[in-house]
This record gives sequence, structure tokens and C-alpha cells, in this order.
Amino acid sequence: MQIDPNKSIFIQLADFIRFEIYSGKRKPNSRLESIREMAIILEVNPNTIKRVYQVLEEEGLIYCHSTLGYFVCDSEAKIKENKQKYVTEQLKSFITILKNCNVSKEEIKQILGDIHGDY
Amino acid sequence: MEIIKDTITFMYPDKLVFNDVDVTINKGEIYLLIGRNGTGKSTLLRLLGKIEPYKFKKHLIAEKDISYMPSDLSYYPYMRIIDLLKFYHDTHQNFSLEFAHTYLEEFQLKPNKMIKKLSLGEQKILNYLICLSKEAKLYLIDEPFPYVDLLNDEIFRKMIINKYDEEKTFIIATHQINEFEKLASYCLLIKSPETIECIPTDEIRNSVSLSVEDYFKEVMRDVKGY
Repeated sequence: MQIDPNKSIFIQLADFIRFEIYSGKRKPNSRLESIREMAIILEVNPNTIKRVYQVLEEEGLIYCHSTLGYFVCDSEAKIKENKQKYVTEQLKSFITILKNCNVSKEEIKQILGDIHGDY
Repeated sequence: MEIIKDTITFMYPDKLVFNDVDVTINKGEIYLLIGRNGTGKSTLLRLLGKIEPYKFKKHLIAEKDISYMPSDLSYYPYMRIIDLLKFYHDTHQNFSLEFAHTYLEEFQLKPNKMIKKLSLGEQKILNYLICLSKEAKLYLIDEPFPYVDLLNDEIFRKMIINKYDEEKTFIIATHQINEFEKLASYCLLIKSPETIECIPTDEIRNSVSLSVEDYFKEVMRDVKGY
């Protein structure tokens, strides 16, 4: 993972782990690196990792086992639900931009058609 | 939890370094201490480490629980590294020979090498190694990076993370901000003898979209008088 020094490490890291779970790269019930391991891999403050794990735990995306550490949520339905919520939020803010720029439906279709190849 | 809190006024015979400046240090954080040349970074570390005589209103760390690494430490040139480590082990409580040896190996330093044969960078590494081999609650590290190559920088940072737990506090004074900013939770910025700003590093990135290094440049350009 490449960390952009001009942006919040906390936000970048939370998104990074979310994406890995949403995309299926991290499987349900698989173990996450411990806070220290993750801190060493990324060379960031262990407190930041701890905060990220706490937030993801509140979202229900990961859970903490008292002795074995952190694991990805075991319910695929829950992950899917979170993923849809996340994508919806992102699309909403995207649509706000389109509205603010007063982009018509035809234009959107055209732009989507143009960039479809990149996706 | 606050471990140090005071309003510091401190002067050398010919120079006023701090004038009624508020300093608060919390437990379990990694601080990056930055400031221009001659603004008092080393002095602040010496004060916090109880090297300079100063009576703090609140300072909860006992002297034996402080590990201080000065920027200019030198040892007897005819000693071998291993003798030096043994010396520290014998004279200091909580000095872990095991930790020191593990990292000697990582840094590829031979225990039998004489101090006088060490390069500048190797001397820095040895200082750093001794500082972190001590089991302490407050680590004060003065400019660990000059003369040290990139790969060893990386080992430095890993060493700190390995050593870190919620009972330990690290304060690192350095000019090489970008090497350390990812690791630090707070940035202590000495602006003038009257102001030391303490800002969470992620807040800098979040609110002004700058890295700590760029923020430092922006801010210090506007500060006159040094």
C-alpha cells in the first residue's frame, strides 16, 4: 500500500482495508495482521492502526477475538450490506457533483461510454 | 494521560530559550519535535530528560525510567562494541543485552569491532541501539538520522514500533521530518520562545492537506526572528 503523505493516514488505511474486504481479497473469517505487525509493515503509528481497527469493528466489518486478534466479519451478507452502503454514499456525493455542474443525462451517458473502457 | 505538564521558562547565561511556554506530554504517544536550528529542540529534550536542572510542576517519570540519546555522544575509542554493551548492562537497570544483540545483527555491526573503527553512521546507530535497549517509559532521541543510510533508517523505525506500547512515550527531535512523520502521532513545533504548538499529525494532513514536512516549511517561512 502506498501512503500519500498529504492525506490523513487514518482515512487512507481504513479505506484500504475496507476495499480489500469488499473486493474479496480478504476472505470472511480470515485473520488480520496484529496491530504491531501492521504498524511494522506500513511503518505507521500503532495507535493509528488501533483506531482504524476500532472503527472497522464498529462498522461490523471486522471483529476482535479476545486472544487471537482481529478477524474479518464471518457473514458475507453483512459485508455485502456494508459494501452497498459505502458505494451508495460515494455515488450520492458523485451525483451531487453532477447536479452542481448541471450535467445532463445525455452527457453522463456519453462520459460513461467514453470511460467504460478503463473500467 | 498527561505525564508532563508545565509552563517553562529557561535561559542559558547568554540566551533566553523558553519564555513562559506551555508544554504538555501525554503517555503512549510518539512525538516529532521540530523547529529551526537553535530554537531549543535539544534544550527541551534535556529539560524533559532531567539533564538540565529544572523543577517541573508536573513530571511523573522517574529518572531511572528515562532513556535519553544525546546528538553528540562519544565513547572510549579503544572499547569494543560488546564491552560497551556489557558496561551498560552492568551499570544500568533494565538494559536488555538480548535486544541490543538482536539489532546489532540487523544493522550488521560486529560485536568485536572497536569504537574508534566505527564510521559516523555506525556511531549514531550504536547510540540509538543503546538508547532503545534500555527499558524505559520516556525515550528522548536527539537527531537520530544524519549519516545513516536509507535501509538502516527503516530498521530504526521498526525498532521504535517494536519497542512501543501504551506505557511508553517517545519524543524524537529531527530535521528529517519525512522519515518520521508517518510514525508520529503528534508534532511538537517550536515556533518561538513563547510558543510550542502541539498538533496531531493526522489533523495537519486532514485540515490543510499537507504533509508535516510541507506544513513546517509553510509555517516557518512566516515566522521571523531567527
